[in-house]
Amino acid sequence: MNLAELEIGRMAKILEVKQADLANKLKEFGIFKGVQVRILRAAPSGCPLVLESGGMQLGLRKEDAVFVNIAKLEQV
Amino acid sequence: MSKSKRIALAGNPNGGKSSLFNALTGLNQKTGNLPGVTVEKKSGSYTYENEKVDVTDVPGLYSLIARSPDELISSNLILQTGPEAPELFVYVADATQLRKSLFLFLQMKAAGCPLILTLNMSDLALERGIRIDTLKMEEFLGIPVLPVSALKRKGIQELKALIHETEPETQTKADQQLPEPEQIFEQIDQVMVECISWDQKLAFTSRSEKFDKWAMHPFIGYALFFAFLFLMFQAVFSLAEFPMTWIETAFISLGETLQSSLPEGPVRSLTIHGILPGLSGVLMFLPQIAFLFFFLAILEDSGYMVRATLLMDRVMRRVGLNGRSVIPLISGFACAIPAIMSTRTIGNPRDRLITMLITPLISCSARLPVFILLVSLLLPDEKWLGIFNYQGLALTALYLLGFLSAFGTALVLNKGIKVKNVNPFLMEIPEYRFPHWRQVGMQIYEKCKSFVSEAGKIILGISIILWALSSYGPADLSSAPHEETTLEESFAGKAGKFIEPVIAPLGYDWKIGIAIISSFAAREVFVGSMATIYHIEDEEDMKRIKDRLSQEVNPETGEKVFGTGTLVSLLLFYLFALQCVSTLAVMRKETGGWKWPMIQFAFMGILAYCSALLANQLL
Repeated sequence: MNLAELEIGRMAKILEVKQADLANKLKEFGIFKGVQVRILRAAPSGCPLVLESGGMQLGLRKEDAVFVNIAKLEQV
Repeated sequence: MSKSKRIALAGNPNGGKSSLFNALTGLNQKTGNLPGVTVEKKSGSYTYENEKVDVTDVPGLYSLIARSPDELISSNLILQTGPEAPELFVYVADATQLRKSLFLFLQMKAAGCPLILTLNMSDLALERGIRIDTLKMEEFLGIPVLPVSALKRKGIQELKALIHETEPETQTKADQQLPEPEQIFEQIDQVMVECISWDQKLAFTSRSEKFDKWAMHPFIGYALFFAFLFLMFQAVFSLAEFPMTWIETAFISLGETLQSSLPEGPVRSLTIHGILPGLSGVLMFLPQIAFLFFFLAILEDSGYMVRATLLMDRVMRRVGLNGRSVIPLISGFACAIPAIMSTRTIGNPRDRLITMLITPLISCSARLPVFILLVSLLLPDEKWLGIFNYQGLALTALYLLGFLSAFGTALVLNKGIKVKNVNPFLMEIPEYRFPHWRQVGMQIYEKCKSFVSEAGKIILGISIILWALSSYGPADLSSAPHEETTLEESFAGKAGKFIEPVIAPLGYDWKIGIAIISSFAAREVFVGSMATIYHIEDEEDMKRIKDRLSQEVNPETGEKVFGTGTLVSLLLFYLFALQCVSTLAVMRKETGGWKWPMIQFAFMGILAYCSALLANQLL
């Protein structure tokens, strides 16, 4: 499943970013394979998404989020 | 005084880098113009213990690997070698966001930059229970670490002392491959484990969190955004009017004083009709620029601007722009000049260019006097259905038409300027912060200063040229004695007659031609020119100009000069034509050349001519 499909609030782990430019940019924010992320909220029209990781928030468009493959983590 | 030291400030955007720069240099700074990019290169200096220190503020950056022209400038400033290269870098890390902040720092360290690490907002970090062991960190990194608070001016003297003590290093910048991001984050996580302890787990402050529930709410979010915009433009329009009137009054009385004190002749005429209007044309814009940037600085510094951008992103992308274009476009209703200056916040160069190109199509406040005069000739001051004033409706329609034409042009340009958008949209969302008055003040001061010094020269120059063209004519070139040149006999008058064949299809005679030429520099001059051309003494008396114009009859055909066709045609011409020298001057400054302002001028001119032609032929 990809990041655009993840429900709001649910933690997930990054598996792969399929687009090179996006992967490189995300890496510099500390978001790469194995890192935990979650979608905090979305802008009113459902896009962009607000991604949270390591105490930092990033705005990310849905069209970019589909390139980020993730695995949902068990809810605690 | 010994020789000066060259240092540079580097760090992420939103990390408080510019506050630290202001804290170090005070007002002793200047902003360099970097054409074609949205970033500004700021430099300044201070003196400590008889040593002069030159400080460069490297525009905020997340990584040394540049992916846009803006980022390339910053990373080149950091990686440059040679005599210009900084001898020391002060890295500004956000103590509340260390994981993210240390990335660029470790890249710079790996690249061999001589560094001092400052932990900004360390007081805030402590409040949130983030304890940083700076001594341990210093040991771990092998680099001096200093906690500071730029806004509260804490640690600044210590930083200056540390900079003073640090021996300038000869640059040994490694030309080696930078470590992979994963490796750097491994190192960061190690630092975090070794040197930082949390009193309690606080990921993102709950205050920001609570506010974002409202700010990004599907209904309340938009309501808040538009309420703020409404407030902002009310203030820009109504509050700026007072200082603008003062400036105007001051110039009128200065003109009167000079009129009576200077001897009659070209010097007096040049001063009163050339230099003074030019100067007032520059200064008149300052209140609007100051008010707009007051609000924009608050929006930006508080962190709300990023939320507004996310809110509007979807809508603006329909016309090929992004969320950041909203503010400049709406500012255009007041004045295109501050609006174009505010496009610097649009990171994407292509989106920024399109926004700058379409902003002057939005009907600014300078068009209003022209519209009011022409609409009052066109329509009766009566109410439609007993509610809506016809003239008011026409004005609304004009504003709407301007807005729609801007969006339409954006759609066309979006198809035309097809630069493949390689950069994915990733935007850091900072926490809300209370804007600091000193930062806000600095921004206003800087914008006003750069407008006066850059655009001011061009505006003044063109007003003097226009003065010369309208006060001298071909008769002045011969030595034969002649009467004082009238506007009709001047170069401007001759030009009006010369262009008559071109403007006749639009329904204009040569007199209107003069008015168009004279208002080339600023549209609002149209009303004054019409008054001069039709010999009306009191320019202010709109009613008298109106009566005079409505009686004007073509001597050959006996028809009214200002018929429906001509009036609608003139309205459209003034709506679309780029008759504003200040806009052109600002465009030149922001795009770094005459290419885009000229294309914009030609495009809007053609649009104005064609729509005016169409209106006159159809009506």
